[in-house]
Amino acid sequence: MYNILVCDDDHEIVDAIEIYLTKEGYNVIKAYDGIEAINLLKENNIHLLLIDIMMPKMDGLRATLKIRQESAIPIIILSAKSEDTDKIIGLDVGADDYITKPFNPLELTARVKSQLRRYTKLGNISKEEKENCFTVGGLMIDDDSKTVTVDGEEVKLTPSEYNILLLLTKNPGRVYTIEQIYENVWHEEAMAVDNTVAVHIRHIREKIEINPKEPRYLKVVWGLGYKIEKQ
Amino acid sequence: MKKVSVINIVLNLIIVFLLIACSISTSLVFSKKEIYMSKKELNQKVGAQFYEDTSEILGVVGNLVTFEDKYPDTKKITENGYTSYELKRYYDENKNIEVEYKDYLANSFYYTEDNSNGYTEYTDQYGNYKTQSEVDMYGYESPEIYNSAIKSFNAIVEFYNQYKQYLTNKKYVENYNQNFEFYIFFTDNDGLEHEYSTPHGKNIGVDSKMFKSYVVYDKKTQEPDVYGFEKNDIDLKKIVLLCNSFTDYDDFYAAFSINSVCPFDDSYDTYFNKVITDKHVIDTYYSYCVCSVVLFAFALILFVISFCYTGTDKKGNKFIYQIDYLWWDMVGIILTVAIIVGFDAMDYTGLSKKLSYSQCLIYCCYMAVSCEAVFLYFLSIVRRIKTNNLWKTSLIEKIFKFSVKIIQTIFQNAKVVIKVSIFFIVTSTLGILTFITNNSTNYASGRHRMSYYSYGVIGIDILYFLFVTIIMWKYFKEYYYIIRSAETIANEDVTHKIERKMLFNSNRLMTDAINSMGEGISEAVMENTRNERLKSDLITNVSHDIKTPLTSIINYLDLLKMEDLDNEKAKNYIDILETKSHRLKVLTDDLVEASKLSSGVIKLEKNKLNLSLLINQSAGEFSERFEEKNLTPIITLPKEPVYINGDGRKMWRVIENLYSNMYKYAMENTRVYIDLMKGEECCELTIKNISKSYFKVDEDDLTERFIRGDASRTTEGSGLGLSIAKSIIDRHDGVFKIILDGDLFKVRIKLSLYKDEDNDESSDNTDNTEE
Repeated sequence: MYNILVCDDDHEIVDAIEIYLTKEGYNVIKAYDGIEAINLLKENNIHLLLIDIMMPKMDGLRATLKIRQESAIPIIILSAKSEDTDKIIGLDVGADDYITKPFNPLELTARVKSQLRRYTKLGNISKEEKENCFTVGGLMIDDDSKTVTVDGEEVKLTPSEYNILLLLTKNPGRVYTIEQIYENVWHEEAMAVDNTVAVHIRHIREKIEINPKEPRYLKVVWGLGYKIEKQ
Repeated sequence: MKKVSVINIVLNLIIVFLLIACSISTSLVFSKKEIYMSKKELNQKVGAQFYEDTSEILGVVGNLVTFEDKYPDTKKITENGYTSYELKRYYDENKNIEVEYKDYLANSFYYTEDNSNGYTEYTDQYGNYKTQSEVDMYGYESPEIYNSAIKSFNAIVEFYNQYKQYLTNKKYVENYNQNFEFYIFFTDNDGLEHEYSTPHGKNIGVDSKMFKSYVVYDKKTQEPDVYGFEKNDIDLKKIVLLCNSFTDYDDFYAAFSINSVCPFDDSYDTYFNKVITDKHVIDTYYSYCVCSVVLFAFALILFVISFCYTGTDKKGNKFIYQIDYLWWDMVGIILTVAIIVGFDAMDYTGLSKKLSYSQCLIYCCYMAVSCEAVFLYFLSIVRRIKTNNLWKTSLIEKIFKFSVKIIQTIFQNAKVVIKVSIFFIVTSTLGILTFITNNSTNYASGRHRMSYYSYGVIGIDILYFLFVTIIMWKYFKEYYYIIRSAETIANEDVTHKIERKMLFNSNRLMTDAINSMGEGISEAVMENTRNERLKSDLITNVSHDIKTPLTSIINYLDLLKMEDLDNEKAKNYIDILETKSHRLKVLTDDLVEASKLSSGVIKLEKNKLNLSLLINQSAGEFSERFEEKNLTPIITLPKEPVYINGDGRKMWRVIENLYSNMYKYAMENTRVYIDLMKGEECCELTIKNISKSYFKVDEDDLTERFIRGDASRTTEGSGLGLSIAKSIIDRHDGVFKIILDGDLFKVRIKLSLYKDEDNDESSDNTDNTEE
């Protein structure tokens, strides 16, 4: 039973989130401004914080900064601000995830779940460094057992998909072109008009990402290639 | 602009008519006067002519007398039974009678002796042989004597013939009232005085009124005293000589004259007398004069009336015609010159001297036309005065204004004028000085050796030119620096400032002016950018405010869906609400993006981009969605990669928008074509598909915001997709064109290829993607 603090000045949104999360079996505590959220956080044992940015009294960003000084609980920002800069600022002040309004309820619950898993279960496991184990954020590839787990949940990939993901995860941040991926995975020369790699990448994304359109791990560098984001 | 009124035209026509009539009558006057005047001349001329004739007669008359005296033998012959003359007759037509006269020389002859045949032969002047007896009978003269005699006789014959004519004509002159008078007086050897005279001949020299011109010949003085005769002196001498040759009388005195008042009667004279005496003619002459004056007076009155009424309409408003804008002073000069030249030309043709009637008419018509022209000219001036336009419409005013302008320009640019003048004066003075010294040294010394003075001058020259060169170099250096800086402001950096460290005041002033201009421009640009940003911020904020309630709508719709609703209709409604709310979400996002793109708030992160790779990637992203609609993408890419300088995510946005367009609007179960072609400078991406439904929209309108192929807007999407795509391509300096060919929907994108120098600062920027 996890306690989730939902903080938004819009009561209806808070209520809706409460319904969703309660349905998933979480205990929801409601707050309507930043100060209230900080106070509730002190009073209760909170496992995850969902917080809006634009709020009266104290806004979400300032509250996040303050909370981060004392607590390491997962914080998901839930905001109508959808600009790239907003997201960067939100993550910079210490949030773990950023969801834009209007949000998909399923995605919201998935992200909450994911954050909670990472926070509670994987917090300790990830510290055991295995030799053939590559970890990027919540994504972990165990090359010995040929298994891929995202936030502790195993994902089933085809061999080609696995090889592509392994190649990219070995060097997080490095951009691989389609040709390089093709040569490394299929050991053949790539054909110009072939979108096999692109299709595979999409499939992988659908499997490992919560929202394939806004991927967290496997990113497209348009006109250049693909990469696994360094976390 | 006023039209010329009918009254004016009529008035003018009347004036012209009057002037022409006046000129006709005046020409009549002039031609009559000419007759009158020329008669005097003719009188004298006729008189002189007559004198010419009568002088001969006069001489012969004298000779006739002397001849008889000189050759008394002729009388003797007569006395001896021979007549020295023959009685001859001639028929006088006028008197209708036969007149008898004596031909003294009828039988006179002389002989030429010819002894060549052994005997003496006599030949007379006609070449007839004469016998000795004939010669003896008639006697003969030596050729010398005979010749002079013959001359006399000829003269006498001449005289006689003319005198005969004179007598014939005499009847036309009453009481011997003619101009031919003579009086000859001499004393013969016997002391007898002889007198030959016309009835009034004795009065010659006495009645000078009667005989205006006469000549008196006095033997003693050997010189004729000529009074009044201007011509025919030679003839007079002839007469005198003739007289001399036949007269030995000491006391010879002859006088003859012509009455110039009433010359000898002839046909011309008859006519003349008629004119002179005909009072009617003179009356007509005066009546013409009066007529002319009256007509002219009328014309003058009409002129005055015209002057009063011209330039004023019925309501009393002043106005001028278009023609009144001509420079009146220039027109005046042209008119004057034209009239004078015209008169001169007539003078050269002799019009003004001898005037016939037709010539007079031409002359006077010309006068009339000139008068009319001058009149119109004055009318125009009157109109100008009335409307206070006299000064404005003059050439002098234009010249005056022009001069004022020039003077003003000079004064306004006084500094420049002074500077240039100083430069000119100094340069030319130095040049002249150098020239003079050079010349003087050469010529004065005769050698090419220069004095210290000329060395000095050349030294000053060199220093001066150095000075000028340095000043010029400085000036132009600064000048070009300012030009370069101004170009920088114009092309690159509006906030660029030109340094004020200038040597020349003019350059400093220019610098200040350009700097303040640059400031103004950069302020305007900043203002504009701020406004754009404000606008886009407003849209962003509004979109935030929309999104919050939208979140609730979407969430509660989802919750509502999870409730158990038995009503099928309600479920249907919820579905509709869900799609619409989803559309609202997309619309809000796209609206923000479109506004940011068009306002230029979004900064592009450009770097080297493989466009063919991007197309491949996009194809991968869309493969399943295409499969869903059974669309087969046919992608044609060039063999070598196509690099452009662009923002990858924005380019993906373009492709994404176009692909989703295809996904939405392409006819199912068809092929869609994606062609990338590479050129020398640019590449072209063409995307073609067959559209599902009929398009009613214009090609250009499709890229406008909120325009969609289906006017009903029933399908999903914001209607901003193509607009956003076009904005992104525009920001990449590319060309985005939509072509509708029936159901074929074609998008053509032209982008310039990547060049190495394009992007030095962000060539390594492979990481700046999503975080």
